[in-house]
Amino acid sequence: MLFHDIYKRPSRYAVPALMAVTAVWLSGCAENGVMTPLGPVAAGERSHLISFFLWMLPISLPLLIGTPWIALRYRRRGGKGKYDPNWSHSVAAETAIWGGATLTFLIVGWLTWGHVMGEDPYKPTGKDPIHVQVIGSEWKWMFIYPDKMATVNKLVLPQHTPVEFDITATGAMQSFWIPRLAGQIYAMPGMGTKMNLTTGDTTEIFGFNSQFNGAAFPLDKFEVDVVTKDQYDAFLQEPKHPWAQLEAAFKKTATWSGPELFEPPMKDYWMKVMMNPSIATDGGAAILPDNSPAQKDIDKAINQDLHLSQLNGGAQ
Amino acid sequence: MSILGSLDLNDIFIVPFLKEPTLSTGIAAGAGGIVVLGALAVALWLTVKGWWKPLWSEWLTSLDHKKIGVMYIVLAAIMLIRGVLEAVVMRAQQVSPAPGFLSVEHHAELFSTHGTIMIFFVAMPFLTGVINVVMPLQIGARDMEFPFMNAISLWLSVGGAALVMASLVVGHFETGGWTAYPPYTGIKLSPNEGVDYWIWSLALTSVGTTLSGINFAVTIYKQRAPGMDLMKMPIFAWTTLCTAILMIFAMMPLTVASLMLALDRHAGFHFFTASNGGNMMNFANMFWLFGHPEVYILILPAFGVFSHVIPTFSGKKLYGYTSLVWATIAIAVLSFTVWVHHFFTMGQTAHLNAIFGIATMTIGVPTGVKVFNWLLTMWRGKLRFSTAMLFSAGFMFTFVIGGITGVMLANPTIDFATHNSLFLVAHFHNMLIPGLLFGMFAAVNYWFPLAFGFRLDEKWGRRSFWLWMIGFYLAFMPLYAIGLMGAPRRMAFFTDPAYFPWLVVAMIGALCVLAGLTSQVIQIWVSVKNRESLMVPAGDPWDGRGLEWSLGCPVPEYDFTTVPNITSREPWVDTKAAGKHVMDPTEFVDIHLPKPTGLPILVAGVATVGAFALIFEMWLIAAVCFVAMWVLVLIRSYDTDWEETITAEELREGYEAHKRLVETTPKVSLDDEFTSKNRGLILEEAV
Ligand code: HEM
Ligand SMILES: [Cu+2]
Repeated sequence: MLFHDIYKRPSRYAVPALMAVTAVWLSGCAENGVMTPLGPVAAGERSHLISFFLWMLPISLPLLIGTPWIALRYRRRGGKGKYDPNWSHSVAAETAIWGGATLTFLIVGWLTWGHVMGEDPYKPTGKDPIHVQVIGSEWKWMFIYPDKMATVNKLVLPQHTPVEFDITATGAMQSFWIPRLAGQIYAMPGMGTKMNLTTGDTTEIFGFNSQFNGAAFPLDKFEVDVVTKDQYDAFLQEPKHPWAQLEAAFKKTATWSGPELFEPPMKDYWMKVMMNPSIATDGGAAILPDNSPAQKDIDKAINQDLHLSQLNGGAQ
Repeated sequence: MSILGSLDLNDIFIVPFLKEPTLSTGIAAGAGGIVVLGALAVALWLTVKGWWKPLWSEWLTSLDHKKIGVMYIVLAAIMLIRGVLEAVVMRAQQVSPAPGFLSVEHHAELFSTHGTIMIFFVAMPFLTGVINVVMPLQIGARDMEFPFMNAISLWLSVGGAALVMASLVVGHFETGGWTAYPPYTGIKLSPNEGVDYWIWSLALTSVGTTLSGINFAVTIYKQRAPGMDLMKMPIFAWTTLCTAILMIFAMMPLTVASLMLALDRHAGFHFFTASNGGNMMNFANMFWLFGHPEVYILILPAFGVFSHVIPTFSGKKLYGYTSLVWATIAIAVLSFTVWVHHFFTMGQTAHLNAIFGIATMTIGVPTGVKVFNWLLTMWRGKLRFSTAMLFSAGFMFTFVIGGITGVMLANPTIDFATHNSLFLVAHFHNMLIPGLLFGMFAAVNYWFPLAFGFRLDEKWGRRSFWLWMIGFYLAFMPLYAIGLMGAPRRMAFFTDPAYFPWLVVAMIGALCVLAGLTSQVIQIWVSVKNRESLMVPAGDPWDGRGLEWSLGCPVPEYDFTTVPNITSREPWVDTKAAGKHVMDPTEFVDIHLPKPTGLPILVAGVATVGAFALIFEMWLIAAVCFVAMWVLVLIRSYDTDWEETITAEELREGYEAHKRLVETTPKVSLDDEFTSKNRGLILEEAV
């Protein structure tokens, strides 16, 4: 019965159904995606995404509606359409098709230029950005606040402030990504890349590496705390462990569970790592033999992480 | 070093499981076991049936383009089964409570083999096979220009696939995805033999593909029937030509990049290392210089298929032939100008990104035009929804959705937010499943009688379509959603509960796809069983339009008794319009066809053993194989007795026999198209 009714009056059911799906989706979206941005860069990306989707509809809807409609109307048995077996060319149709497609292209192409120039990750998003140097490693992240502090797997930023990251890596290629603040950029050994963003309101989220890099890839993420300016200043004053301890341990351990805050390294440490990644890694394998001690450590770290994430209601 | 290189007992599939039985090692051992037992079962079955000999003399040694094509498709089908099973295991892994039943590495092996297999050992052999069967028949050729080389291409691809299968039994496969970016795949981070499996299986098949490309292009340039100038060629021949040119130019960067990676790994080079002057970005660059044209290699032949299936089952001329030809050429040319869109996130300047983003969007124009052309072909037609037509219509609808997300991804700022996420995974499956697999399924359902003489069962065909179609939507629409929710690709398990319902739907979708695939296996089985009632010996079972339907089914070894003179785009339609059901013969002449030979299989076999030796660092064996391979090729070069003659008289008899058959076959109406009354020669109006 219901099926028959849906068949008769699809629009009556389609709209609520679509709304329900969207609602479910958006409620799930409270997590870590670009659709729930927490800063102007990610917000820009979301608006580009929606605008492109909408701009594609005028050229796509005729196909999406036309295909099933024509399929029904011109079916051999029971179809109502006229039959014209030799109709195979029409100047009007040709003009409309090529014209419509070209027009769509011109619009999205034009928009693209604006979007890309407006959101160049290399361009600072405001005056006097905070500089943070980033080193992605197997399977942890080091953040250096030059002359002030170094942290592992913990990035603390003041709210509503432009930030510029200098990014490199030590082992495999990684991709530095905090989806709710800004899109990703690769972190590569021997290379430096940059990313600029502006933080939003205070929040606790996380960022991660999105480029598969081996045994502990699921653990390759870091905490991102956006805090008030006072909290940020206080954070920089917090007690720190000696740099030498970090330098030694960072090389050796695969995943990180130790202390997070350290004294800063010497001034040009990040640059040195970029020029010669091997100073920050012992170059161990990223895939490990089953049952090797290193693999067992990682299994343990994964289980611990799962335990933690259960405590946090899965948010991490 | 031992002659067996780095091979040791632990590399044998069952040993790690015996040492430490866990679910993960158990699954690996099980997969290896299936391969071994499967191979044994097939061997046993062939022995019991006494089929080794006919298999060898009629198939494995054949240089007939149709048989080579069929063998390509069989390879694709076997590998498709493995690829889909792997996909189901990955889906199951992600819905089971974290961290799932697979280790991170084992899951990585799965997505890497799945991707590598689907692209190189399903998609490529599938389309190469369909081209092999159909293209010569469409242009009035008797064979490929280089039949021996054609067989070499086939067996090199089989060799590559055999290596990927071997990795289940001996050692590991690569874990860095189908793209295998260094430095992850360098010797330091990936010390085991996995990456070498990837390198050498791809080396074999990409050499095969390059040779196929040359073969197809030359065949089209040189072997067209008299009168068939380029603008009279069927669209499938056009898309084949463009694909062939892409194959010739696009495979090279991949072969070179992977060999450079091999030198890095084993000869101490530094092309892609982070130090000593190496630069990994160059690998990404070269890989995608291949990779983007590759996706058009995958999709263009399917576009050709739709351009024949849709007019046939619409009972109508193709709309906009010229437009389609130019769109195809435009796509082929543009496909070389957009590769940077695969690494917008590598930190190049905004200008470069913008230019490549916009260049990518230009491809949307000819591609969009094509879909409109097919829609206008259906407009004012009389549509019959055979399995092939269903797959075509399903493609049109679904592909448009993939096109929308494709243009979105082409905008670099959107790409920053979706790259490496499941949104991207959803997008490319959204292009490849309709744009490649549906096209190939349509091709098989449509052209099957040419190769085997009987139609495929329609009931199971239609079931398979609906299962694939619904399965696709269930499996991949959720990935768009969780991709936007920040779910990265290649992730062994997710802890975010918000993803869970979506992953469950995707799992159901994957099972649905598996059911679709099973229906196709049943379809073949049922059709073979009922082949008597599905025979269409008079040919042309669907009121077809191309030259290939002027032939009886199955098509004889020599294809054409006489090569027709072509005066229009649809010579077979003209013939039928003139009330004839056999094309007028031109001149009967003696023809020469290449004799069957076991050499291609030997050459590729030796090459495969050599590649295996390279993977496990057995340098001596590898060197011996390399020399042996060229000796075999030399032997062939000095062989003068490689042709056999079919006399003009035999051809005349073939023609007369076909004519008699056609005259005695009752013509039936389209209403009976899918019934056992259809013995070929279907007509719009009942006679
Ligand atoms: C038949 C249904 C299919 C299902 C259910 C499926 C499922 C999957 C899954 C679960 C992944 C891993 C996604 C991740 O990274 O987390 C994947 C990756 C992939 N699939 Fe499929 N797939 C299917 C068909 C295909 C086809 C037909 C092709 C190509 C012709 C294909 C090509 C790929 C490629 C290239 C990858 C990427 C592998 C990598 O990350 O390197 N798949 N697929
Ligand atoms: Cu591309």
